[in-house]
Amino acid sequence: MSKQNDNNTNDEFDSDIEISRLFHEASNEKMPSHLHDSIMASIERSLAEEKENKPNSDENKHPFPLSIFKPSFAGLVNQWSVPLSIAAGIVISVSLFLNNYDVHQNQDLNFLGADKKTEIEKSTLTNETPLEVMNYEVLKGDSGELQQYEIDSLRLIRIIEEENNIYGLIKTPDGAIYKVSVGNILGKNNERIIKIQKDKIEIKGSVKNRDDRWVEINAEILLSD
Amino acid sequence: MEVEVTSEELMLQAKNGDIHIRAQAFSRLVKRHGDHLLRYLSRKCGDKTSAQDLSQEIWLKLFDTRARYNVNAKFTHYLFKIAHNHFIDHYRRNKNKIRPISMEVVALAELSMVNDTELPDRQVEGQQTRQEILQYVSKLPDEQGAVFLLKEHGGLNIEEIADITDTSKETVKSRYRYAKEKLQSSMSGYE
Repeated sequence: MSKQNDNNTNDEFDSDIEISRLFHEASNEKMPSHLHDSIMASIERSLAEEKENKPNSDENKHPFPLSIFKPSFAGLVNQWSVPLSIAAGIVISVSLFLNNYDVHQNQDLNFLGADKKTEIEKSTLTNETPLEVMNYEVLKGDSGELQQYEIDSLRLIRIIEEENNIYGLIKTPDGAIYKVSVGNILGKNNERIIKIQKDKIEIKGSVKNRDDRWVEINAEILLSD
Repeated sequence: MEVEVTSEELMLQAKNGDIHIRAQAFSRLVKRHGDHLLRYLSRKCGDKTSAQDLSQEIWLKLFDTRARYNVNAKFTHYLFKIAHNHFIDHYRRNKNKIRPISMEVVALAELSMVNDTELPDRQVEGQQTRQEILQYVSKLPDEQGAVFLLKEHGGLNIEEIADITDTSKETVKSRYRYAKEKLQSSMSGYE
């Protein structure tokens, strides 16, 4: 004890051997066994409390992940009802937030106007969408509604059958949907629908060639995936 | 042959082991270092009861703060740092209270009352010398006494004492030199 095996030890920090010996002979109290027992009793109590307050430790698994709580809350969280209440509170809060979020979304759509809302809603429609939720207009012959678009920009999203008649649902680039039938005209070159099958629409039109002469063309719009 | 587990390893067991390992490791630490800590506190407090009370508080504090123990630190450095700071807190709390007479003074007074015929002269003289050195240590200025006791009872080096007392290594060195010179001067008649 009196001699240090330290690199920094030098003469100034060396013990005086005689003084050190006398000092250690004089300062020789022993820890009484009752003091050791008393310390260990307190330690064992602390360990038992720790075990009780940390039920997710290896010694005592707990179904809830309590490690996020500070030790001071450990006793409180140890009761099963507390984390359950917290979980319920979180679920309710999230539900209220989502509900409120939907209300605001609808309010925003209403603010944009009914037409815009229809467009936004329509733009999300696909061939997987149930027919009854689709909002479409019936194309009337050569009304010009679909003649402002290039054929390539139109998508066939559904083939439907109503009263033994077969129709196609065409979606424009800006999200509007039209119900078309054989005879309707669409595209900038005034192509006419000549046949509707279960997976495509066949169209026929006329375009001018290099010689400025009209030539007949055939095309198809395939059902979108 | 059983390899002795170091105090640092025991501290890690007290920190990370299961409940029984923790208690066992801590008990071994108390047994291994309890005497040195108690002696250090006895010299600092000057009375046995306070030293024992403080000793218990310090061991419990060590246990409570074991999660902060860094394995790179020597265990005695950690223990005596807690002890030093705890004693300062205790002293500040109780500085206005009347302090009991140092037990070294009491022991010395009792010894002087012993009838010389009951003990051989050399034995009485030896005991008297030992009690006197304790008295001289207790008379050292607090800073010098702290360095002397941390070195003698804690077995700590300059860096560790400088860290515990929050001073430079040079200051520790000079405090120890003054303490040693005072004790040498006081004890010169006993060579």
